Amino acid sequence: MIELENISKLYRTKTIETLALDSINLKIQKGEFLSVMGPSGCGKSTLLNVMGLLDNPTGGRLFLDGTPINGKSDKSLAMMRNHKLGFVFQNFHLIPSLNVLDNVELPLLYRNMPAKKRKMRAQEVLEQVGLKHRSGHFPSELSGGQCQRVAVARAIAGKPELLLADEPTGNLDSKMGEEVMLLLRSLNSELGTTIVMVTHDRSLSSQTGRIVHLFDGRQVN
Amino acid sequence: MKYLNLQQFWEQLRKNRFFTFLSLFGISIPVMVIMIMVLKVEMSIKPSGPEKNNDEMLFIQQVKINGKDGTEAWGGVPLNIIENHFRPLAAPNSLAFSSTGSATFFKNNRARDLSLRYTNADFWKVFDFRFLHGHAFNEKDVEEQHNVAVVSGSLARKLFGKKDALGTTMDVNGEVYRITGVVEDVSSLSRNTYAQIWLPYTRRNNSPVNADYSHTGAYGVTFRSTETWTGEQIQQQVRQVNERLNNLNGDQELIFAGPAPAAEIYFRGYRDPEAYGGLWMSYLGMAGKALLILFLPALNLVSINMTRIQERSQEIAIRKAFGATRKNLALQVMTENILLTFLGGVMGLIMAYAVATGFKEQVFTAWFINNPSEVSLQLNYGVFFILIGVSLIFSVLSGLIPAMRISRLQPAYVMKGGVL
Ligand SMILES: Nc1ncnc2c1ncn2[C@@H]1O[C@H](COP(=O)(O)OP(=O)(O)OP(=O)(O)O)[C@@H](O)[C@H]1O
Ligand SMILES: [Mg+2]
Repeated sequence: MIELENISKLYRTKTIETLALDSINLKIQKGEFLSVMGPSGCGKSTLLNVMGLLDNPTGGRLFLDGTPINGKSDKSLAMMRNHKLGFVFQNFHLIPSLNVLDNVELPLLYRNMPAKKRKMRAQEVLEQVGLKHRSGHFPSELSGGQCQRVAVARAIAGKPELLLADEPTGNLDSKMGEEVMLLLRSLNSELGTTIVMVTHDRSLSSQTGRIVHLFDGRQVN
Repeated sequence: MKYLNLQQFWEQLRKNRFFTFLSLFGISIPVMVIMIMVLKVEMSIKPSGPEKNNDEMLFIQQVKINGKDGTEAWGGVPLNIIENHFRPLAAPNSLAFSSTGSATFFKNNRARDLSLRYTNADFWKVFDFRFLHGHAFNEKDVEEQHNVAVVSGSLARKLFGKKDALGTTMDVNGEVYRITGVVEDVSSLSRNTYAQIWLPYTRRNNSPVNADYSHTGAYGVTFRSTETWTGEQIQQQVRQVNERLNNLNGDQELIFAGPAPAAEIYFRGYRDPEAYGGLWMSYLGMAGKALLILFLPALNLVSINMTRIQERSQEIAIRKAFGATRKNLALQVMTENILLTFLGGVMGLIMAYAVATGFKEQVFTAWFINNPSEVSLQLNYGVFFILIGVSLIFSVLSGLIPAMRISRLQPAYVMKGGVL
C-alpha cells in the first residue's frame, strides 16, 4: 500500500535543527492495521503527515501503491489525497463554519460528483457513525466524541484505501475512545481499509495488527 | 461555483461583523462614486423620454467661428443657415431645431422662472414626446406666428390644478398664449428637448434671415436619419454646406460642431471637433478615472482579505488535506470575494440612486443642465452591465493576491497551528 525508503525530515528554524525523522524504512501492506507509538516529540505526527502527503520529507523516497511521490505536482498530490487517503486528527480539525453534513462531504466536493450524490453519500456515512440526526448541526454544537465520529465519517466518505489517524482518541474519555476504536476496527475488518494510527494508549495499540515504535525520529524494535 | 458554500459565506459575514462592515463600506463608497458618474453620463447620452431614439439622431449644437484676427466665437446655429441651407437638404419630418429661453411667471405674488423652448413644427415629429392631452402646434401655427404653446404636465398642474389646461391661455413674457397640448415632463438631462413651455420659434425675437454667415446664432439642430437619408449622408451633406458657407464667408472660418451622435456631443463639450480624440478616448478616460477611484479601496480590501484568509488558514489546510487543489482553493476565495464585492456593488448602486435623487442640484451640475432639479432619474440596463464590470474589476484587484497567497500553504504546518 505504502512504502517509505530512508525517509528523513529535518526541521530547520533560525536557532536549531531538529531531525524529526531519521531514515525510516517502512512497508505497509494493504489491509493492515498498524499503530505508531513513542514518546512525545519523537516524530509520530511528522511521520503520519509525510505518509499523508501533507508534508514533504527532506530525504528518502515514498511510494504510494507502487508509484513514487517525489516531485509530483500539486494537482496530482491533491488527487491522491482525495482518492486514496483519509485523515483523522487528535483535535478533530472540523471546519467550524460548515455544518456536519458539509464537513463530511468535503472529500467528495473535490471530486467530479453531482451534489445530490455527495449529500447521499455523506448521509450514509453519518448513519454509519450514528450521527445522521446531527447533519444540520455545527461542530460547536457537538460533544468531543461526536466531533471525532464526524471526523471519522469525513475521513471515510471518499472510501479511502489508507486511513491515517493521529491520536484519534487523544482528546476523548476512555468510553468514547473505545467507540471510535470500534469504528476503526470495523472499517479495517469489514471494508479492508488500511489504517495507520498514532496512539499513546497500549490498550488501543494492542488491538492492532502491528506496532511501530519510534524514538527520537528513529524506528526501534 | 460549487466551491462557494453560501451558508458558510453568510455565517462568516455574520460572525465577523466588523470586517463585513469594513469590506462592504469600502466597496460601496467607491462604487457609489463611480455609479453616480456613470448615471450622469448614461442618462445624458441615452435619456429616456422624447430623446429615447437618439441613436437615430445627429446633433449640431454649436458652431465656431474663427476670425482672421485669431478670435474665436462659439455659439448656436444661426437661423439663416438652418433656413437657407439645412431645410432644403432635409428629408420630410427629419429636421428639428430649437432654441432655449426663459420666462418669468407670477403666481401668488411669487415670481418663478420657467424654461422655454422655441421649436419648429417638425421638432414634434423628430422627437418622441408623449402627449397627455391635446397635440403639438403645426406648420401653419409656426408660419403664421400663432400664439400657441405646449406645456409640461407638472406646469399644467401648477397653473391650472385639476382643470383641463387645453384651450386655456397663459401669460408668457407679456404675451398671451393658447395651450394646444400637455406633454409628459421631460428630464432636464434631455438637453435637446427639455423645457416647461414650448413655443413656435417664429415667436422668438430672431435676427433677420440674411446671407451673412459670419455670426453665431441661437439654435440647436437635430437631424433624424431615415432609411433614405442615412447618418452618413447627413454628415456628408452638412460638410458640403459647411464648405460652401466658408467659400461665401471669405476671411472667416465657420466650423459646425457636428452633426454628431449624442455621446460625442456630451463628451466633447466646448472642444474643437479636431481637438477631440473620439468616443473611445472618452470611455477610456472614464475607465481610467474609475480605476483610480477603485485603486486605493481595493488595496484596502486586499489587506482586509489577507487578515481574513489568515484567520481561515486552518480551514484551508483541512480542505487541502482532503483533496483541494490550489486552483480549487483560489477559486473558492475568488468566488467568495466576487459575491462580497457584488453585495457591496449593489449597495453602492442603491446609494448612488439615493444620493442622485436627494442631491440633484449638487450631482447634476454640467454646462448644459440649466435645471438640475428637473432631472428625472431613470434606470438603464446599461448601468447594470457597468456595475457588473466595476464589481468584477474590484474583486479581481482585491482577491487575486489573497488567492495566490493560498498556494504557499503547507497543510502540515498550518494544522499544527501555524498560519499561511
Ligand atoms: N514546524 C516545525 N518546526 C520545527 N520543529 C518542528 C516542527 N514540527 C515539529 N517539530 C519538531 O519535530 C519533532 C517531532 O514532532 P512531532 O510533532 O512529529 O512529534 P510527535 O511524536 O507527534 O509528538 P506528540 O506525541 O507530542 O504529538 C519535535 O521535536 C518537534 O519539536
Ligand atoms: Mg503528534
